[in-house]
Amino acid sequence: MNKDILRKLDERLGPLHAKQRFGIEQDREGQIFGRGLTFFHLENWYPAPWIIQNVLKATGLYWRARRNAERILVKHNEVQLKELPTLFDGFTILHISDLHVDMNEIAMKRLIELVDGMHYDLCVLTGDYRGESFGPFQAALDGVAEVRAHLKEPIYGVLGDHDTIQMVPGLEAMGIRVLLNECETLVRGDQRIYLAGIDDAHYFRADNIEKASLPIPNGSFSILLSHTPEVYRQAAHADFNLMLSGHTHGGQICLPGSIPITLEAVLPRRMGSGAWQYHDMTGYTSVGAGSSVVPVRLNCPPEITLHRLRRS
Amino acid sequence: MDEEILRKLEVRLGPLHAKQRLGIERDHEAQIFGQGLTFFHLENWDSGRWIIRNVLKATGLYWRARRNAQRILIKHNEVWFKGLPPLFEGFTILHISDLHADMNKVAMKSLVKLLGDMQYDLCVLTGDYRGETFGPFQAALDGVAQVRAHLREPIYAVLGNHDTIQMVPGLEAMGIRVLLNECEIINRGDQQIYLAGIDDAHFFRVDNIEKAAFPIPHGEFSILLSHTPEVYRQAAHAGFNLMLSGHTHGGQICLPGSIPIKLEAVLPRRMGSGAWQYHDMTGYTSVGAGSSVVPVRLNCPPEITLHRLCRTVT
Repeated sequence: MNKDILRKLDERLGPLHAKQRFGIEQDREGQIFGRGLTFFHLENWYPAPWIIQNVLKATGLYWRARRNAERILVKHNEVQLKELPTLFDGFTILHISDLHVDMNEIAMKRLIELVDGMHYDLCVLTGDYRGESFGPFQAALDGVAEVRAHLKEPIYGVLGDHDTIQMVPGLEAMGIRVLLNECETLVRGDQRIYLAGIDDAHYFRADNIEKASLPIPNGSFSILLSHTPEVYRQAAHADFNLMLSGHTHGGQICLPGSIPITLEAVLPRRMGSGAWQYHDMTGYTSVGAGSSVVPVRLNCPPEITLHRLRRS
Repeated sequence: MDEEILRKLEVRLGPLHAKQRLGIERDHEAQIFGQGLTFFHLENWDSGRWIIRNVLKATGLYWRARRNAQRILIKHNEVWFKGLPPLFEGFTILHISDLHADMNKVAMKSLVKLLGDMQYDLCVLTGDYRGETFGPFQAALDGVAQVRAHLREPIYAVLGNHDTIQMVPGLEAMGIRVLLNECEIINRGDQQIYLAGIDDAHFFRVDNIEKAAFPIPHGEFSILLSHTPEVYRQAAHAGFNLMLSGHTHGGQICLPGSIPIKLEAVLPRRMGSGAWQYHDMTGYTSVGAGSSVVPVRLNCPPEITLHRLCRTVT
């Protein structure tokens, strides 16, 4: 890693975060290219794409599944929130997740058509910009840049388990503010809400909700961006009102009735996709705009989401 | 929970930690007593006990396995470090883990006998004082108090996934300093080492290595107490020199050759018990002094450990 990048991140995040994250990233690359896999992670298991592809081809589902992965839906999610400040009634968030941009070129073209001319007040990206979970990242950044050109600011993002922290300067140079256990204030008139974001809690475990929520005054309305919804307990008990996530792909390849085969997450199934509630916190798990391992989807179309916040 | 306890913990730990921990504890109790189990946790599965007990009885291993669980070994672990301050040469740490004090009464008696006039400079307890993961905790505190009476200060501890944060005032009243994502300095003459401890990272995920490591100056010798060794990557890349853990019980019921059937941890098997190394960090996973689910052990005797820190001369 460029020493300069690491030094800048140290200044911003304190001495530990970037060092830990980057260290674990290097270990993973070492595992994949050197010592062999200690644990089973489907996305890093070399024959998996071959098997999935050929099973789908043998069953005659492959081309349909490929086309499915290119047909992104726009979902509308109205969220009723008691604590929402009055001036934020109707505030609309465009939520895009799991682009895996370098392995979903046709889907990205479709995405650009969809977001052009769309109306929203804030855009959030909940991680997994890269196809692979290791290796080069420039192709992913180039792909994000193409999408970014059609998005309106302000844009906030968090990193996923497929992303390297080395992508942060590139993302921020395009005007995507990456929240690394950090928090920003959104202001409308004399009212404000808080938007916090944590680093990946699924593989890297570099999340720190405590640090991210430190600037939020008690009782203020707050939103948490977390790539994985697996930290729903920690987020709810930290008093976030809304959590926006991705990561699961809703299963990506599902049985009829959208029943996922695997969610790649330690999570109650009801939180695997769409809107859910846990105690006083409302959650939403996007099934993502891109696809990974193999760019195919069955019974689980890709999505981007427009969340409309309503004061109840 | 007593509001007073919560308020005191908030003053000490900031507004979030105790609140999150306690909230997740309440959800856990509700799951067990109300909504049914969403996920499979062997230690909370009542039929698990019945099956283990009866399989062992049917195979004639039960009473041997019961006796095994009561015969605690003293293990000696010499650890070599380049960065150890010279005055800490020979510094000895008594490491006791996974007491599950209220369900291992005979084992606790044999533990107290072992402690007698043992020589050490520091005692650390790496969590799981309670037998169950929910419910009352006074019996566990009483059990710990009996062991505590035979330990010499200073004593530091962390909480495990079987413990409630409500036990902290009780433990601290006995002179056991609980490290909740906190750090203390150990002095010898004009030299010092740092001892940090994190709250449970296995079930509650209320660990915060960043917060615990914050007071440690760059390059200083530091030890991390973590109930579970599963955070070995985060600890090693935070620059800790030594990590002391428990949680796995080394498998508790093992195949001949001490091969665990299950470790209850997402962890490379080589880190499941004893000494290990990861990058520049040395680790040790104690198989624990107590046992859980059913107080039986096979091919995996319970232990307490004496770690002797030695300075590598370069």
